[in-house]
Amino acid sequence: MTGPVRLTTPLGDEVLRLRAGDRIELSGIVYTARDEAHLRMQKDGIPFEPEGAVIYHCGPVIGNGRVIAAGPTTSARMNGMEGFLIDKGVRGLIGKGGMGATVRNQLKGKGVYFAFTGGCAALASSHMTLKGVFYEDLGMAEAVWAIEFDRLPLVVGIDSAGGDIFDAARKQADVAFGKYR
Amino acid sequence: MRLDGEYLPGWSFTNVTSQKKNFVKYWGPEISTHCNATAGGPRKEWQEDVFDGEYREGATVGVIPHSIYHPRPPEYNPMKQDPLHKALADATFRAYREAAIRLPHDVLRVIEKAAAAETNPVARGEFANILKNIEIAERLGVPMCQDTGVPVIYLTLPPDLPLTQSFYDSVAEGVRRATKEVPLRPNVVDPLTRHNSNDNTGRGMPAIHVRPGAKFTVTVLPKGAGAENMSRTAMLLPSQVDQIEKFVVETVYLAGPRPCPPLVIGLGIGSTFDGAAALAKEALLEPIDTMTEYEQQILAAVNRLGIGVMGLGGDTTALAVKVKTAGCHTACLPVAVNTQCWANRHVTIEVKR
Repeated sequence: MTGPVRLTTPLGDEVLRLRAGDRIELSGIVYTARDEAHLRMQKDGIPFEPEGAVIYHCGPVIGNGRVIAAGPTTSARMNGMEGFLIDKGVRGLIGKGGMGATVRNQLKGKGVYFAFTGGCAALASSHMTLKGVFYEDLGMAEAVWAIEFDRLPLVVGIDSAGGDIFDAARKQADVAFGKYR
Repeated sequence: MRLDGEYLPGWSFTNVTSQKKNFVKYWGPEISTHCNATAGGPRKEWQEDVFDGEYREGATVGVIPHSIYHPRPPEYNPMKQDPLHKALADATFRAYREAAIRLPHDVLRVIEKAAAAETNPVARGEFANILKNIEIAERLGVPMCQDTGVPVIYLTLPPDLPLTQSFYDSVAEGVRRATKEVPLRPNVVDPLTRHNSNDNTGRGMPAIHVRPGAKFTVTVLPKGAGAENMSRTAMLLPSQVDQIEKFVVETVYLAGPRPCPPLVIGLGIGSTFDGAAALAKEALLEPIDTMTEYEQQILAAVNRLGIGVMGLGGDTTALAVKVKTAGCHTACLPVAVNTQCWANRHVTIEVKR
């Protein structure tokens, strides 16, 4: 068994070779964005270079210029708001819980969705250095923080060929719950 | 000293003629009750707080339910210097800090056991992250999750300690201190205006539950939103005892990855509509490394869903099911499921006095 694939942002066509279930380690600058930041970017444009960029669904705790805790938030809330980012060149999304069929289709041939383990805020921050912030007026949780990752362990949840391990697990659960119906 | 919307919008006062009058109107009914119930009568400083009956004129005065009886803002905490109440504030602070940073031994053991038994490779990787995260949080003394929850507090009071308002105030003081010093994420907002108090207290917050006990203890159960949001309650028919398992499995099925599985499931059966939910939450305080046959049977059914760690698939959707029951009406079968993420955080400390 081979170790995790190492990737560095900005990401390029190497993401197209990833398959759902692959473990990777991500380095380089990543931008946090939750609901409010997505709305702002839709309205005012993307404040960073989107080509090859990675978006992290996260509302971190920042203190004294450092990332204190930065686990993922539920990605599904952003299901309807990722299209314009992917069209502008964003190659990766990170979050928890997976995303819907819309995003799965938008990612086809373009990018991937990485899952990071929910609740693992201390592990996350031990791999992170704070680099900057956009939209600070949105508040700590909703601002876009530029964070440098150092080999954060992630798993590919949705690949660029439509493979989706969340969807596979959901289908299994549909069958298992079917026996109660 | 001001006591108005600047403190907390949820605690704002209308129909004001003076600050003090306002204060009396707002807190009066409860303080009056509790002072009267105090052995030896109310303390001197409290006399001015005693309800004067004026609240009947004000249409805006809400009656605070017993179940979420709450602390006063810090400016109106006259017992701050009392050693007993300082001890309670301190114990609450320490319990909250401990709970945010370290998992109880039984929870850690069960996670380790499940990680070792997991056969799905992706889930094994997720378990490795969780165990690494627990270790780092402990080593660095930082919260294990950025959602440090809302404070759910359980107090036991020995026979020589009658319940007074200041117990609530002291717990709130401990929560404020923990928010500043641990630090905790300020999560508590007014439910309608969504204004954040920035200190994790507010109307009915912390949620404080009191019962008599042999020792003076405080328990802090920080409850994160991801898992709390997926909880459900149902009024089943008395003939549907065999449907309880289905209700639990359905709850976990509908929740999918959102509550951050692997879950600990608190299951309250019986009591009343509200009582079942309270039982479900208190079930989370039970040791999860032992289960009854009934609990194991429901756990097995939940794990057959295959949702797995973080919804990525695998053997472990839940770590444990804990059941608490209470008597109920012959025509009722209240059932409540309180979903909890793998971080089943709770700490109990004996208050030294």
